Amino acid sequence: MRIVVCVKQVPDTTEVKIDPVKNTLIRDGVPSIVNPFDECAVEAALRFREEHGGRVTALSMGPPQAETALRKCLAMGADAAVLISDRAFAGADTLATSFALARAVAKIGADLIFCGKMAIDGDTAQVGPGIAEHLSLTQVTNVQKIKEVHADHLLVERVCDGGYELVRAKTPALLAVEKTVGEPRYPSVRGSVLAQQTEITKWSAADIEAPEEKIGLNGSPTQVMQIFTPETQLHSEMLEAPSEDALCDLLIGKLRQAEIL
Amino acid sequence: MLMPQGIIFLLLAALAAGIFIRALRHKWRILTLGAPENRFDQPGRRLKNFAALILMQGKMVREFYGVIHLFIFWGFIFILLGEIPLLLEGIFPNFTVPLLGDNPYFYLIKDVLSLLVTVGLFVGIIRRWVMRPRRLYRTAEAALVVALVLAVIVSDWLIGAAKLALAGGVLPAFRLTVVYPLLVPLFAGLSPDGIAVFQSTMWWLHVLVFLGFFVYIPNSKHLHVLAAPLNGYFASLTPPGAQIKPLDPLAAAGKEYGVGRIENFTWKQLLDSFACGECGRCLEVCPANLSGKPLNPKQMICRTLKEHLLEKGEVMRRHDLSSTEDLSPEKLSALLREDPEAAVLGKSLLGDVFSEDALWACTTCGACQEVCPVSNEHVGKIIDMRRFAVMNEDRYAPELRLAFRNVESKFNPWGVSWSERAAWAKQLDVPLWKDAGEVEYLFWVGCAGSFDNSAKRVSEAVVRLLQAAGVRFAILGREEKCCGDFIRRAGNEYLFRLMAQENVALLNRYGVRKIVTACPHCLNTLKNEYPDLGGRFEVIHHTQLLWQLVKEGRLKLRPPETTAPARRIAVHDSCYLGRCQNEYEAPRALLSMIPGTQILEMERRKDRSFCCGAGGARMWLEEHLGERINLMRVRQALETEPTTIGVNCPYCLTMMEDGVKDLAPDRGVEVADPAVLLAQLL
Ligand SMILES: Cc1cc2nc3c(=O)[nH]c(=O)nc-3n(C[C@H](O)[C@H](O)[C@H](O)COP(=O)(O)OP(=O)(O)OC[C@H]3O[C@@H](n4cnc5c(N)ncnc54)[C@H](O)[C@@H]3O)c2cc1C
Ligand code: SF4
Ligand code: SF4
Repeated sequence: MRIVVCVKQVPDTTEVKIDPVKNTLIRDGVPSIVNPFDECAVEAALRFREEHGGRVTALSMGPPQAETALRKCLAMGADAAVLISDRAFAGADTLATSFALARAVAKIGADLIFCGKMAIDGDTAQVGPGIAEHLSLTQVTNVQKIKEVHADHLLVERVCDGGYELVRAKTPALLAVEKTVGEPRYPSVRGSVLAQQTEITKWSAADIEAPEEKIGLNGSPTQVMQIFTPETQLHSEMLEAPSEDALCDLLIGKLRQAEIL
Repeated sequence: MLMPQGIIFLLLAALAAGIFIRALRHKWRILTLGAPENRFDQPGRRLKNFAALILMQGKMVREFYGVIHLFIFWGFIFILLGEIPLLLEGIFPNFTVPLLGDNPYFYLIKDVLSLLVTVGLFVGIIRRWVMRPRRLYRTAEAALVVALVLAVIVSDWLIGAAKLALAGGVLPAFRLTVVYPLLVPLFAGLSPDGIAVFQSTMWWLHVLVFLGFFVYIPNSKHLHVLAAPLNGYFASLTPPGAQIKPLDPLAAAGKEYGVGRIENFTWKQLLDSFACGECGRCLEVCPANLSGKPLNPKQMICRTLKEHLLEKGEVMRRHDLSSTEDLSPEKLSALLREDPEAAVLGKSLLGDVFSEDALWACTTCGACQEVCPVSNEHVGKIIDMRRFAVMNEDRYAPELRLAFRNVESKFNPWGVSWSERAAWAKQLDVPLWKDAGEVEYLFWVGCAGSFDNSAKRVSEAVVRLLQAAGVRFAILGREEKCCGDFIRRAGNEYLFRLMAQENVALLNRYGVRKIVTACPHCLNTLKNEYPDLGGRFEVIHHTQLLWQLVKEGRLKLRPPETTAPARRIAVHDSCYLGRCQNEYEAPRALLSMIPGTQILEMERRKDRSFCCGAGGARMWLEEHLGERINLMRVRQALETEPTTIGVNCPYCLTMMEDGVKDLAPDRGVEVADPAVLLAQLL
């Protein structure tokens, strides 16, 4: 089984603050981490490999320093890592990103692709499905468990409101996973050291034969105009009245006044 | 002319020497299986150590039984010297050994020491077999050695007395002795011939016992008498906090990490086992052992590791193996077919020989090393084996894994967001180093001082006191990262280096020279462990700096209020400020400044202080086995009836506070750092 896990390097947004004056993220000194959902995707891939065999390749698109994220995946136990990095990818939206990643996946060759449910910085949850569409693969999102593995299909649990769906997915397939697929393992020291010494494959846009008009800014129909913290307006008022009945009347009056009732 | 008895003696002596040398060579070959380690530098300091620890028995004489050992040690040397004239004069009756044989002062000293040794041996017998302390073994071996030594001394007395009797009671060489003349009356009524026969019989008996003892030494625990002096010479010259060997996991990638097989200890670490005198001092001070955990530092050195070393070393030498690291299972089973004893080669040090529960019980408090009279180094061995468990086998407690993970992602074991590191200082007007301009000290806050509620109060107090004294200082704020103390002591040299290298790079970039910290663990790591990674700083503890400021008159406190309630403060010395830095006075001096204070000393204090239980990564491990160490320590403190327990380490603070809450929730006993108490007087 050839397994590819897509991982994105993201700023540790649990730590990122928004600059109240400039309305931008304060990234000064903020460490980059592997997107937490993607760490779980790696964990799911490794567990799959441990049970059913195969080879796990971690794949990322990003600037050269995204290598660190891939090394983390190698430390956890991935067999190989590929970084696609090129100035031409800059400014990509989710369509262009998923296109480039799909080309790379095709070049690596995969029977099973793991993605995180979403990236904690972009938050769109579109890249996984995008890759599947570009490659015309089965896709299952919000996966919390792979229940059964068969020759030509998988049985997976997909989270939905109040429970889960049991989905039969023909392979090859792309699974976008929830954090509940498994707590990511803490890499062993041996693994970490080995990861430092493993060569990471680096591909440019030309290497994956991605046409210029489909990648980067050129391949992106959407563009970010502004990032801001939405203003939430909360007004609260304590109601007081001598009796419960009076209090109810008061409340109903207020709700009518606000045209809620 | 050599008499026939001289020839027999020489043959016997040659035989004994042969056996002796063979046994030593065997031990040598086993010892040299160990990894290399340079303990040959600085001969001057080493000789000084040798004189202090071995000739003066510096650590021994700190207790009564050790004084007896001092007599036995010197008695032995003089008895050995006495053998020269005794043996030579037995073969050449008319020969006198110059300086010894005719020297009345030599015989006086030897006489007195022999008496003292005899008394000492009887005290030892009573202690070992009648009083039966837990720290001593009562083995047949110990009994045999006592008997042999007594036989050597008594036969010497009888030979000398006979010689004196034959000389008519006057011999210039014996004129100052006490025992020989006392025994002369035994021969009253015997003919000179009879006395001569008795003398020569005794002489032969003496020769046999003496040579037997000689042969016995290298094959018994009494190899100690040869190995201990070596251990004194080769003792570590670095302070106890700086003894952990550096290891670069990247450079050593192909090899086994840490020590997971006995021969991967260094020769010096192996020598420790031979040097051990089985005195049990280490056992008596070990908090892990005293709290009922399965770690016994004495047993580890002189039984567990030693027996395994002898057994495995013997087999390795037999099969010409210098290491078992590359011994394949096929090769092992081939060896097993021809030699069933080769099974020992397949045993793993961790698990089969030394238990993992024992391994993780150590708090690295260093009490064992502090008291060990032969300078054995217990802690390094523990850490080497932990390195094997963590780095090589990836086998350790899940709670420790969580702490590692937290440090890796949040730069502190608490797992609080790293961006909150300086939140405690928000109201205090402390400059960050990067904006500070000209400052003298960096205040290294540490993880506890940044995130633990009680320790944060200490950080605040330090800031207020330093500000009051007009010290120019700054903190690193969010740029500070875990120093790595607990990580290193947990055996994770990889993560330790990751943190340490980043800290060192930052401190060097900022040109930091002087550092003050309220955490003795940070203190030790920054001062003693960062130099290996290129970080050389002058680091002191806040109590040291504050005491200095008081002495210089820079830190002025409010004049004492006469109505201040009396405070009874029990002083708890932390292992890492105490044994590691040898600082006991500064905290006491500061506490004494508080009006109405009475300082209370616990029985286990200063260099004999008892760990709070949190060192050596124990802070981050569950305490499943035995009694909780912090409760034991709090109980010891409460015996002094204190109103306050004075601590000087954030780990101690947490542990003692927890202990007081459990043991004496209603007694209102406060646990406090001197800085917090002093800041109330600003
Ligand atoms: C209009 C627009 C313009 C943008 N312009 C820029 C820009 O100029 N510069 C810029 O840096 N960013 C830009 N971005 C952000 C960037 O396009 C997205 O972050 C990226 O497409 C991934 O989307 P996401 O973060 O929402 O990931 P999601 O769709 O939430 O991610 C889902 C999963 O897809 C996989 N995945 C996502 N991204 C990658 C990746 N790079 N490598 C490997 N796997 C991945 C992971 O498995 C992840 O868990 C732009 C985004 C938009 C919408
Ligand atoms: S360092 Fe402390 S806990 Fe560890 S063995 Fe020595 S005395 Fe015991
Ligand atoms: S290790 Fe040291 S203190 Fe412990 S029993 Fe041996 S000689 Fe004594």
